[in-house]
Amino acid sequence: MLKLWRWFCLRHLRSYKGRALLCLLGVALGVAVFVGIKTAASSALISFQDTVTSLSGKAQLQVVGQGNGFSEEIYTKVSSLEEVHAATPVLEFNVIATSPVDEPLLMLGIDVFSDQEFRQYHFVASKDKDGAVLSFLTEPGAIALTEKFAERHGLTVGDRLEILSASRRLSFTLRALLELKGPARALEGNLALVDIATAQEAFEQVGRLHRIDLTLAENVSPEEVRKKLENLLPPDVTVEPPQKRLGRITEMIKAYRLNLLALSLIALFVGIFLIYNAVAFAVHKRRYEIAMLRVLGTQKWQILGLFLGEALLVGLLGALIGVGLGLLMAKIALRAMAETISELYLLVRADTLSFSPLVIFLGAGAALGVALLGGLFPSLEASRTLPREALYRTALERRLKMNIGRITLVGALLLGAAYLFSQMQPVKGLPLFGFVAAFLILAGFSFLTPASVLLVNRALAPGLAGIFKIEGKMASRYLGRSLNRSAVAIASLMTALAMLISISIMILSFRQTVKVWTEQIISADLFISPAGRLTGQRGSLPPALVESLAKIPGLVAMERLTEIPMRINEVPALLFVTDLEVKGKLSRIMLRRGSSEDILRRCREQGQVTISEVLSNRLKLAEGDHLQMVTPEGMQSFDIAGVFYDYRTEGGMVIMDRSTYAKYWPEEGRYSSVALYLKPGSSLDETRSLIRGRLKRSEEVFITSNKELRREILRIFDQTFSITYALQIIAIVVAIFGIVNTLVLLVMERERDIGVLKAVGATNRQVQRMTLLEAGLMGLISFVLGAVNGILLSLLLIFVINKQSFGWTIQFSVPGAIFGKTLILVLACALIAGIFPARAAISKEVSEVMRLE
Amino acid sequence: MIKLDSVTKTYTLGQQRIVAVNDVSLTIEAGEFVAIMGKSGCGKTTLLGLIGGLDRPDRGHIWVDGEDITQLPDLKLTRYRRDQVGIVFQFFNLIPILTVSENVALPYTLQGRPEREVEARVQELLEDVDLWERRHHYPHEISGGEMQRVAIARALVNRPTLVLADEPTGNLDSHTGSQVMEVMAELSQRHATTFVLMTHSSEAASYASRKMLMRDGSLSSEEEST
Ligand SMILES: Nc1ncnc2c1ncn2[C@@H]1O[C@H](COP(=O)(O)OP(=O)(O)O)[C@@H](O)[C@H]1O
Ligand SMILES: [Mg+2]
Repeated sequence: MLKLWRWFCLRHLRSYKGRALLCLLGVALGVAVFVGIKTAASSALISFQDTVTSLSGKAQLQVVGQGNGFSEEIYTKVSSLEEVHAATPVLEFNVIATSPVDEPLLMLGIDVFSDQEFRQYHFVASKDKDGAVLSFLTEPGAIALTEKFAERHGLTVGDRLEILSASRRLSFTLRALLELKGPARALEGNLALVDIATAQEAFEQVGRLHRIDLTLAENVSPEEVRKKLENLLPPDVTVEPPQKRLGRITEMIKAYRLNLLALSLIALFVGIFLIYNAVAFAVHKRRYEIAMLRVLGTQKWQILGLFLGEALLVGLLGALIGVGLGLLMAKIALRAMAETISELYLLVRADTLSFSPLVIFLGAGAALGVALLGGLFPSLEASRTLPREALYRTALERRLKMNIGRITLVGALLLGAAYLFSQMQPVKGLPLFGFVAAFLILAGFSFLTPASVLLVNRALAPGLAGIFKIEGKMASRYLGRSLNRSAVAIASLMTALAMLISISIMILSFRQTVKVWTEQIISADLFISPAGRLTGQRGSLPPALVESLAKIPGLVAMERLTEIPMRINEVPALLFVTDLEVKGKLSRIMLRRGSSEDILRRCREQGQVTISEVLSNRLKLAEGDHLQMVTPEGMQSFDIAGVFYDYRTEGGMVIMDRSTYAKYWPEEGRYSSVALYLKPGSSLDETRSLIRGRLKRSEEVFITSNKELRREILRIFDQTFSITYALQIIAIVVAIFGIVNTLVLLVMERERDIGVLKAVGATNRQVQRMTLLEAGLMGLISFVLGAVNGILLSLLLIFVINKQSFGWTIQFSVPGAIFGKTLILVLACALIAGIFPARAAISKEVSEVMRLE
Repeated sequence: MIKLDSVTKTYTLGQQRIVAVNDVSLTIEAGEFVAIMGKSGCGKTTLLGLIGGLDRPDRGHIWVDGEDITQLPDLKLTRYRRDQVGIVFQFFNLIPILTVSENVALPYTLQGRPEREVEARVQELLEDVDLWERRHHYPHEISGGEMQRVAIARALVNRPTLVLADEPTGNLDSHTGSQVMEVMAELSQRHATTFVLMTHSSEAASYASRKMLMRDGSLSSEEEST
């Protein structure tokens, strides 16, 4: 059997290197995308988990606060507890190193003495004990950096490093270098250590802490200690094991990862069609040999095995190349992904790929699965070859009958099932059934392809014959007749196009929604925010600056905003504290129900709050319900005045008036940003330079006009989808391979017809035109099907998948230009794909073809 | 008039050289019905390809109505095939996706001739071969003999100066074969067209006005041994 296989399959593959290679590449690309995306996504996550774990050190419990941390006094309270073995205070800042480099840094303010119990730092080239070196840090302005970071930027001990934290510029002196071990691995080495007192002073956080790490005495249960501590401490301070934070992070980006994964599967899906074509091609080329083998007594199952073996070989090679290629791709994707995650969720740096054997195994398995699925039908076809076909090598044109009725029925059933799945509830906040529905739609449309090709082809036939005469007529007839081959290629291109169109519609609808939203809600003239803004950063504007802004000439009103990250019932949310009197009069929010002015007035006068749509979905709370929030004064209940649309973050948002806030929280005069409403006709540039003039040397802020702010929001939006675009292009490339393969196969099957045509006087050009027309026709039909399929899928994406994973309402809009652009793309690609087979069509001499028997 | 002068065609198969047509000289008068007989592999198809402009000889010249077709550029050769030659093959004569009448009209349609003109001609020829009733059928819906008759009608549609037939009865039983030959003989008379028939069957050859024998690529003139 193996020998047989070597003779028949390997030799065949060898003699059709080009085509085998094309198919191989297609499968490899599919696998590569899957492996690449999955590896990159888990690398980003692992890198972050690594950061969290290595930073937690030996801590068993962590005391954490909301917003701007908590008072130092808590440290004294906690460490004096007898169940606590050791405790150490920590300040944590995300800052930007500005000179000599521009990179984010995680800056830790630590207590050099109590910290040793928790984390083991290794210093480069120090003969002293570690503890002694740590004491370096107590010198004013001293900082320790990792060797990796310092080397990358040519820093040596004694050099100065400038950083930007929110609106504050600070300067430190490099005193020690850390080996990239233990906690220093955090953020891939973008870690800086300073003494806690230095940090408190430099960041104007005197008397404040962000975290306390604890180890416990022997024989006490962490859970009991946790409860005891929570009773002891103020209500807005929580105690939790470090693992909890890990879980939250994984939770936070799971929807993002699932989305990418689903996308990457589409390229694999298209790969099934490619394999189908390749094996069908092999079966066709060797049907005489197969019949001969049958005459010689080869069993049906052996024939089946021969061809499945060939498919599997392609799958296996595809897996090998694909995994390699995927790991390369992962490297590129990782950058883009880390950037997006940093922008949207939390600060990550990921330079190192974490290779997961499981992912590689899955990728390879997927390739083999694709090979088996794609190879099964043509291999079955081969195994049904009758021995007598060896006798009628030519005369018996074996016509594969397709049971179009049955296939169409299967398609309809799949679509019906897709509808049912689309109506199901999410699983743990993930639209798993939504994705199942998406794949069912793609599969359903694939099954509807043969019937649709017949219909569309019939509709187009008169026009084609009218415009392109006999060539058009023949192209259309050939297409209808070779349905068993062409439908597969059309289905694969249709799938890729449906994906392109649906995702474009989704993204453009989303973009349009966000655009309208920015136009509605951004109405102040100037926005002032800290220059060093990073995700998850607790920075604020210099208080003196905010005070002086109130006296800017031409000012109509000023809205001061304080953002406080918190968790409401375990859902991450941002508390937006602002001056609602100003907002209500001069700006607006986009509400699900009710008028912005009314509702904002109710918030201000009756101490109510307005929550974002996302939070409303997550907490299952609506207008009129009560929102429970932990405050320093304990749990408080707020009436929900309204629900507003917001697209800034995936977490929830709560808008609260400053006066309400002041009732429960200590007013600290910290402002995350300020919006200025100016008199009409005021010069933005003049106001800008006026504000700049009031800054201290060490301060830096962004002053953004409303136009710039809108643009910036859309820029971040576009960046978020960059990977998506790349994935789509890959799927299209894979599908185009399919078209080339199919057309070449079709041309080969028609060699004799072409010979006759030429013998009765068809010019080479006419034969070529016919082949190109057929390619164009296939492209056109794929487009028509892909467009219908794409619109359906986009509805699913917008109203089910997106809604369930993120909770945003997106206004559905179908941008016509997308269809025009896609059509041009498809026709161009199909015609280019047609050139190769068109050449093949005329390459044989007529006399040679005539002799084909 | 067709005149072949020392025409030779050689194929190389690996190391081996096969002289498929060996120094053949031959003259066929206009309107003649000539049969070239010979066993399988003697070079008939190759010779037909050369006369029909499907292939070029290695040596020698072929004049058709005074023009040397071996010297024609590709495009002109295609035109020669289309305008002056009609071919009937043993197999796959018809395009399976076209109906009987579309198949007959094919050479015309490929030239982009007006519909009306085509229709009249197709009707005339299909009536000649007695298949007008079958005009809307597809090739797979008619019998082998009928297919060959359609092929003959198609070969004539262009009013070619020359019709070449390669084993037109090779795939048919003897009864159907003789029907096809009758049609061919009759049409060659009626349309005053030169017919060259390649066959290994002496029965088919008997319909011709002149017979020649081919052996190992060489043509031995008229009726040496039958
Ligand atoms: N393309 C080709 N390559 C190599 N040999 C060929 C080719 N075509 C024909 N021949 C050889 O030329 C000889 C004549 O073939 P052919 O003209 O088909 O004979 P016939 O039609 O009388 O059976 C045969 O030996 C055949 O094998
Ligand atoms: Mg022959």
